[in-house]
Amino acid sequence: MRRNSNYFGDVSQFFLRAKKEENFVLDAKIKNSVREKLSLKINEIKNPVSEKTQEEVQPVSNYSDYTIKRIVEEATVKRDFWSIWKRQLISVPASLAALTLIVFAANNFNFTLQPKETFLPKTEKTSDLAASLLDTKAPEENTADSAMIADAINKQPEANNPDILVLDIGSMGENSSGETRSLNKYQPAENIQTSSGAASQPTNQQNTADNQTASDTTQTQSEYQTQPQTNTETSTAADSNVDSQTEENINRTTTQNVQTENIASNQTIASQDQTGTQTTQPQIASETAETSSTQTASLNVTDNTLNTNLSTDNQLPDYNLTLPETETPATPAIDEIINNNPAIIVNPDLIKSTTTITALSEYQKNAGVYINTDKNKLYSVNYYKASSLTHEPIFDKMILTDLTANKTPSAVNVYYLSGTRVLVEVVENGIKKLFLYEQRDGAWTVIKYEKN
Amino acid sequence: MNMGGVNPLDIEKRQIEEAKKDPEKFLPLYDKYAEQIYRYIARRTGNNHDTAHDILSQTFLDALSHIKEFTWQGFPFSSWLYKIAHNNVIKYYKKSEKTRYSPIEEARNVSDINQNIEEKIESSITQKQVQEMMQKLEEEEREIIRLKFFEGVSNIEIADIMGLSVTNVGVKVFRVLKKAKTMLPSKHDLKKYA
Repeated sequence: MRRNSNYFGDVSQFFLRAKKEENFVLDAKIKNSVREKLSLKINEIKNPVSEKTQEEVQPVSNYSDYTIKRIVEEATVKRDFWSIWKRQLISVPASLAALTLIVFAANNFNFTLQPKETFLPKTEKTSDLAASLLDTKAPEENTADSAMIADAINKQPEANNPDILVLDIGSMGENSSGETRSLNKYQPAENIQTSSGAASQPTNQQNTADNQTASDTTQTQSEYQTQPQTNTETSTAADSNVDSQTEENINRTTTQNVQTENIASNQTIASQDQTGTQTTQPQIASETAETSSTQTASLNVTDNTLNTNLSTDNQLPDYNLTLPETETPATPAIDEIINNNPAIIVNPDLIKSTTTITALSEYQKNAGVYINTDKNKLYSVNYYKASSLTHEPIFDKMILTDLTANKTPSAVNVYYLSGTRVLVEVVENGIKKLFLYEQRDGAWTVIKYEKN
Repeated sequence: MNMGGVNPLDIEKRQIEEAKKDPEKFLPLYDKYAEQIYRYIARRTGNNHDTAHDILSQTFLDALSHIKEFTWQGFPFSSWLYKIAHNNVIKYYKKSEKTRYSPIEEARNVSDINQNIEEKIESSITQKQVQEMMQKLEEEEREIIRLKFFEGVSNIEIADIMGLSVTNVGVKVFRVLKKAKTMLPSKHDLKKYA
């Protein structure tokens, strides 16, 4: 070791000489500055609460000497008990009170979305409108309408009420049960068309002898007329005319929808229906008067083809009896379908809460009727697609034939969820059956089935 | 080691224990080691005052914050401070992505102005030679030289600071000295700088 020391003596000496010659001097200012920082840190360690308050104001390391002194002085002042705890003493009970209030409010108040805005004649895009309509389907929505419905029943005897549209499908060929069905907001658009198709009889069927059904109809009709927003939705779904229309047009379509029923029932009743609509909803009636002539023609085309369809609707349940409880929207949104049927698992990336279902005009050509080859009968098929989709997927329509074989659906709704997923809703006898199809290896396969 | 019956390490140990209980007692330790740690940092940062100041400040703030975690192992408190400073320097250079090399020649700028011309020239030559030599060494070797010859730290402390075994440090010191010896300037080279 000694030999090593001697051996490296010159090297050691060289470094030691270099060390001696170097002159790193710690400036007194720097030394004091660091000392001040340490003092501040020591204060922080000793008084964590008061110092924490200071930290929020400014980082310690960036303080000038003057600031450090000032903060140290302030810290001394803030160190009394009340200063430290008063914030906690006030804020904690206040937070608890606010939380209690929120919980109380959430439990005791029903927040309803009133569709008033949909009546305003403002211009908006159809997709936005459809989205807004789909968003107004809270089950509690119509609780406030009960009184109005009851009032309407009391005030307006169904037999002489021109405002009530009664479609007696019982007089149809196969509708031997004699049930009188009417439009209601909860009925899917396809049902409405079906009803109208079945009711190929004069509108004076309002005066049908079936008093019980008429009573139900009155209730339904009243509600139908007090909730034109939903009618609009129905119309949007059924007619698919809204993509290029403003909301004003939607209102027109609402009336047209009523008119469509009339036309379907009896293609000569348009004027009567306008009158009836005017009685209760003058603003809509006026729109109807303006537009009925142009709309009737196009609607007739569809309705004519539907006329023979509803001979099988005698199997449909009386929606009126269950109307207040079910409150099923006319056109269920995809989200709602999924929410109501948790068994249906869909790709959340494809269907999100923001997904809006749009019935585009290009789907108008597809909407309408479809032949159930087994029975050679017609039923309506409506196509919807997620707004995120630009093109409908190639969904083999023969699937619908297979799906409805030996069945008499009142409505079939096809929802294009994505390029590879299609949800088919078949309504038969008031029972909804949902088939979620997925394209696997080029073939459409049912991956989920739900019945409610 | 025992100076008049009072072991300096014992005094330091007691100071540390007191500082753990009362942070105010940390200040005497700062006063004692501030210059030493500053030199070490300045040597590594090329006597960049601002950077050295920042790292020195951060080193002692870290030490104060973690004083309660300090475990006495029989080494001077400076070993722990060197370790913190070493880590902070590395952190600084990683952050700024600057070269770790510390040009010692910059130290000439703060050389004593009272040195006579001859001394200044000699000092300048030595510093330049050290600078050139250090440039040829690996960072770990430079660190060993700094700690061993410029900081006067023992092999045990170097091992503690650098996270090496004592034996490994001994081997590395031997190798770096051997390497440095070959780089040592000859008398002829010394004239070159004159």
